[in-house]
Amino acid sequence: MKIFLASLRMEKRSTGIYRVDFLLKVMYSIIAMYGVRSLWAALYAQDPSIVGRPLSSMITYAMLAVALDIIFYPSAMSTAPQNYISQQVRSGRIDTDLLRPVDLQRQLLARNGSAALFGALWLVMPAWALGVLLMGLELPPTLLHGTAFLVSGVLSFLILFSLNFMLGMVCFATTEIRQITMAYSGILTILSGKLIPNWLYPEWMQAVIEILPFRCVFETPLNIYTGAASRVDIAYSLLLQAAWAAVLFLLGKIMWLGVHKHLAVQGG
Amino acid sequence: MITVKNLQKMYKIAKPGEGRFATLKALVRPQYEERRAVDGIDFTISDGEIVGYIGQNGAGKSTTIKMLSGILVPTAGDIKVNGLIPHKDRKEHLRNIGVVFGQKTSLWWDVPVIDSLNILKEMYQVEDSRFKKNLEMFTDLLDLSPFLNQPVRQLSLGQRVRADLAAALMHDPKTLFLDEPTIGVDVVAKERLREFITEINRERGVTVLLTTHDVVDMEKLVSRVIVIHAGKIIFDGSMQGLRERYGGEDADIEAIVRDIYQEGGRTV
Amino acid sequence: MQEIKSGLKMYGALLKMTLRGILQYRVDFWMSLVSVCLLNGANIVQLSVISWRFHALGSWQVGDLLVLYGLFLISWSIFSVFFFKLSKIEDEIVSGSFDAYLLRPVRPFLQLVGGDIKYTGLCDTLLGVVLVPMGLAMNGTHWGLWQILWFVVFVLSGGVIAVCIKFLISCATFWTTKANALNQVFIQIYLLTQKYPVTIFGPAFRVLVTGLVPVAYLNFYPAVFLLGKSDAPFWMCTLSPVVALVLAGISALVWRRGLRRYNSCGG
Repeated sequence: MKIFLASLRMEKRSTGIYRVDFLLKVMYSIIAMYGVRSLWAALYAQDPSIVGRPLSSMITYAMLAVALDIIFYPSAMSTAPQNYISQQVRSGRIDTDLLRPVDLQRQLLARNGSAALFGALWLVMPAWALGVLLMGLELPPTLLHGTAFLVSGVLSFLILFSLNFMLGMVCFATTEIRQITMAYSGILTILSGKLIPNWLYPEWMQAVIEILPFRCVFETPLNIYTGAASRVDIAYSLLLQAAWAAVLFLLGKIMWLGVHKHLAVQGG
Repeated sequence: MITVKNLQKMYKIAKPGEGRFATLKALVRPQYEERRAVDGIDFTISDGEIVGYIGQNGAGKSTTIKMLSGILVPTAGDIKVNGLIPHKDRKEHLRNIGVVFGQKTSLWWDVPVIDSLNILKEMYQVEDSRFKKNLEMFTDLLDLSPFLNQPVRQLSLGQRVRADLAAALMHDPKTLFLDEPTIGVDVVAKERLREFITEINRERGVTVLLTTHDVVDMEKLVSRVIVIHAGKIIFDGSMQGLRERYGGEDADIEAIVRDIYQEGGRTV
Repeated sequence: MQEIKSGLKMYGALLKMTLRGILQYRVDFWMSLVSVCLLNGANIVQLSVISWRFHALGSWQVGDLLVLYGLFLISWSIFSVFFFKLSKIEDEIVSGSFDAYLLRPVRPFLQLVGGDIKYTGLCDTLLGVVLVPMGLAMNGTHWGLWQILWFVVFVLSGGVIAVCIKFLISCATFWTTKANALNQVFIQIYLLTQKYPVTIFGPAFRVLVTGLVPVAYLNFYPAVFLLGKSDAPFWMCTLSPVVALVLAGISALVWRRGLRRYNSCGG
């Protein structure tokens, strides 16, 4: 928790220094939201009956997905675990991380988490407010949905963190992971519901997506926010998310312990 | 021949604001402060000298070296190196000088040392016979052969600096600028570097200006020292003169240097 | 003339060395190839699902969309294969290697360009070359010599435009602490134009991607012209080479001023 607060302060300071960054970031969130809004409006103009969901709900889903995406790929890209690890491994500074008394996984979670929270407060809130005021972003239907969305969002972050952390572990095998990261984000885009919600896919793809953890990252919280999920659905989704978060975190931990052991024997 | 007259360099630095709304204030009106890195210095270095340029970190050493090599343009004052103005007659000037920054390599990271030397040959248009002769000589003097075919990223620091020195001298420059060439290098390797620099100076008449914090460098290598403190030159003369002025006949050089770094020196 | 010749020779020498450096990492080579294919695959899946559900996007049929995306890929890969390093000025300055460029008697621009080659971009080229005829076949359109000539002009101009935009953004490093965020904004913009026709995003966006950051000239205007769409007037589409020339001029100017600025601040 202490590291978390310290990281948060650091994050705040750096935004002060890179002031141009800040304005540009708010701008790009708005462009991206505007983009998906136009896309769905154009698609719906085609034949609204295909989709079975009102345009306003779809737009809310898509714009909020963009907002979540900004939190999940927070301001300082270097705080994302896979980027940080690859940077440290390549420069040979990973040793210094091993020397710190705090476990690497927790260290990174604190850092990445603070950046995400900061992104949520400083970048996404303004974008979200503008969306509500100007672009027809809807509010969640009930207070319950709103609260559940926040909880679900935190769980999403945890799941994504663990996935990214495991990707970071790949660095110890190959030095360069930028390309793999690109492919990974491509796959994530398809399977997480970030751009296209699950129910638009063909049946067989839906079945595959259902059993993978990726859809918990975007689709679950978004379905809750837009009210597509009933009370029972909410309870079930949150439990499922929590289970995935725990399993993936543990899996990451096991991988890290393996790598750590290997490092101690091989000497980096 | 290097002449420097009333040389000045000023930097403008963005100031992170303080107080509650610092971030917002910085967004609206960024604050700058000016810093004088080099504050009106004069000196002349004749051909064939080895001059030590010493001073605390941040005293203005590297800034001076960068201006002398043409990377930085002075705010005011004149520089002439071998009759050329560094930042105006760039190409011509660069052919006449060699530069080594001990802290970072100018070689290509991923390819064997010999490949770097070969591409530099192309860049400086060094004749084949000349290149061959130099390569033989430097390989011999700097003992390059064990790692000539290894990529730079695999070299130890001492090896890397040796490779960098060879690279800086391949085109037979008249003047050599060395920014902390011995930093972080072990005692034996340091000794070898010193021998090499002396040799190059004696055999080829190369003028050398080097910055260093190493007392042994000052005593064994240089014939003259220029001391810079807070952007101003406070001493220019022989090591003997430095001793007489700041410490007395048998004073410890280390103590003198420490005094200068801390408070600009105590004259006796 | 002599200068161009020696410049090309220098470029060749630099490139040869860069390639030797790349070949040191054989595992990465294969991994990257697979990764790029996966990323492109993801994009294609997106396009297919949308087209399968909605059949078309406004007046743009599936075939049209494939041509649009293909054109983007080909032009973009000219940047990503040969000029990628131009977008990395910030990294070069931060790591200190930019100083090294200024210490050698060869144009820094040439050293920068010769410093990297992204073979993975060739996957984009390849995919683009497959997608364009595929889209045409789906539409049942056939190109004559005239269209093919225009296609080549468009792709080359698009390449220049892509390089210049990325280069200009990267040059912002000389003035602001981070050009990174600016690049993020640009990425958001081209993620929209690469796959979807600009028309669906409304007039303001269209002005933005035509006049301010002319990414629409990478694929939208060429596609309108080559497919005979009514989204934009004919003459506007033929401006592609002009835009490329203007941008190249601006880039040269900005680069010079950026170097001067670097000379006075030292990064």
